[in-house]
Amino acid sequence: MSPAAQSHLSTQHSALSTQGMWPWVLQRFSGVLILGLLGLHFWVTHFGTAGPVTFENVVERVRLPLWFHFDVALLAVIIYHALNGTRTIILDFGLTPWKTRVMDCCLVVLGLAMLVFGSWGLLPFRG
Amino acid sequence: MNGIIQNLFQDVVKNKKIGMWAWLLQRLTGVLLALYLFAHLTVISYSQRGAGPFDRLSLSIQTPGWYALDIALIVGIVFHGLNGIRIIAVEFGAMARAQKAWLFGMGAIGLVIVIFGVLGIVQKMMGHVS
Repeated sequence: MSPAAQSHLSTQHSALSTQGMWPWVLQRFSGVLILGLLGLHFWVTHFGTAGPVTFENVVERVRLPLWFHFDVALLAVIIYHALNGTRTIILDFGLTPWKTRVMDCCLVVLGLAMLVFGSWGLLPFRG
Repeated sequence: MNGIIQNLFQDVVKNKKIGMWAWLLQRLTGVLLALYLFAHLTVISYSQRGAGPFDRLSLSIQTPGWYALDIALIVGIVFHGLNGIRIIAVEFGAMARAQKAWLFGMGAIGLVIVIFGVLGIVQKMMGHVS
């Protein structure tokens, strides 16, 4: 960060120190995990079935418990990574501790809602 | 608040440091990909309306116009992912002297992946591959 930015953020040394250790670690860990899992997801959805994407050929894959749970797990990891990333960006704008707590609660609620919404969307494909 | 944003962007705009471009683009692609996630989950949720509505929506987005956006999506994902690896490597202190080499090296790898992705999509469009 440039010295000019540093001086204006006198109590905030970097994105690292504001967000806390676990979010920092898990962001990177989930990121690497996503590279692998998302690649697999992409491969299996695009090249695992023949023909254009239709309800039927999605059922072919998701009816297997392995793939249903894989998709839900992938979604959970991605949601964490996305919302944690959003949190880091917002924290850079500078928040009071109370506002940070409120934001964290909102993000948790949003994350759970997205996970439920995504899983709900997968259910009809279980065949 | 505006002072902080201004100063963070200073490194990108005024000082023109390429590393800060990477920082900016990492966040930008991240936000855009998060928005894509909302759209993707919404499309998938059409399954709840039945096979008919789902198929209609699904087939309507497998057209050339939407494929162009798919290519943009691939570019976004590849950039965000490889830049992320670069960030992790830099934070571990690796390649301290070769940061720019990493940046361009990752760029080269990214370009290769994107080309593969684009070729795959173009093939699909041409109907050569299912």
